[in-house]
Amino acid sequence: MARLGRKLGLVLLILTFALYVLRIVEPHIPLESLPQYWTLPVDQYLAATGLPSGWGWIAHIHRGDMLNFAGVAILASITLICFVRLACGYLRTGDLLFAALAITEICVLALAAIGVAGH
Amino acid sequence: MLGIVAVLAGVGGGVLFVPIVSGFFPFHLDFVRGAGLLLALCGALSAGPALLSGGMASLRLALPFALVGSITSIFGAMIGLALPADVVQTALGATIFAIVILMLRAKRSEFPEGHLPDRIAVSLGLGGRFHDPASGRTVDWKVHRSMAGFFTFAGIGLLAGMFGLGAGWANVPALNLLMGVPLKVSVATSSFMLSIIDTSAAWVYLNRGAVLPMLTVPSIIGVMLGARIGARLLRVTRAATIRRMVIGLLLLAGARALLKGLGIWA
Repeated sequence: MARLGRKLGLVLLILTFALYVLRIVEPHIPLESLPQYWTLPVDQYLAATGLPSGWGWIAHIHRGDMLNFAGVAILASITLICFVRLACGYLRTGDLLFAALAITEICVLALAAIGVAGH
Repeated sequence: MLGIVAVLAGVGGGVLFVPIVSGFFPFHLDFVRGAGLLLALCGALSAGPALLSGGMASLRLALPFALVGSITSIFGAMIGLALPADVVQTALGATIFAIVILMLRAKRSEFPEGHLPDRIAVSLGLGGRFHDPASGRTVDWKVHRSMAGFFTFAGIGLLAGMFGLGAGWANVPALNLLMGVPLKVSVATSSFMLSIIDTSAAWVYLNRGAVLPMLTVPSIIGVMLGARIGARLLRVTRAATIRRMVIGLLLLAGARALLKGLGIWA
């Protein structure tokens, strides 16, 4: 599953990045004005560009730069998906201690992913 | 280039990427750290499945310690994003120097022996049998100093989240030297742990908006391509030469981070 997710995420990253830099899909921040924003701290960058934080990029997925987050999100989700499978395996074998550890890890990763942990 | 050098030197991409890119390129440190974590994560995801299926990595060993590291890496990311950039840059410089000292001084023990497993390790069932095809030896390995291991991985997670460095540089010494795990099992397990520890911190950076596609995507693709080239060059390159080169690069990048953070070399 990790192999498949990594390949899918990478292919998506390459494709969406090509669409972005070749200007096939117009970005939210024009490429020529990007250097004036990438020197800013993240809070100022978001305020200056009007970009959303969290999962707000989904609403802007039709923009070339935001489209890249689809591949990034897939790559960042692989560990979580693998842990769901792992927890099921531990439960099946009756290894309750390690099933509990795997479920705790799922909760930690899910809280980080939905933006509850870290805000 | 970073991907090639990282593989040849046996360090993760993040530990080279963050100090070099934040020191010598115009991107703000927030974006560099976000990219560094995703870079380290992708590298670990590439190696992880093969190491697990090859029987080198111990999932049972990784899980409890990586859980602690993944929790503290969230706090590290929050602290790193809350602190002023010059403070983080200065602390990054100091951390890079500490990593260089660790690389220079830490001895590696191929098959640590003569220790008894502690109570935590026994109750968690940490240990196993490892066959090393290179030496032809089969070793029954066990873990000691588990509590110290938990504290160490809490610290590793905090630093990984704060500086976006990944965690491979610290995982191997912690598993091998502190906890008595054979070197090859430590290296393989470290890669798996890195993907767990970095993922939670990477989500914090992603959710805060600190991921810049123009920096992150080419870096991930470049480092992964470089890692493939590096793996081929591994057979014909002298490890000691590469190691000296990496230490030199880290010293330069660490000095730059320190001086930039202190406002001496802006």
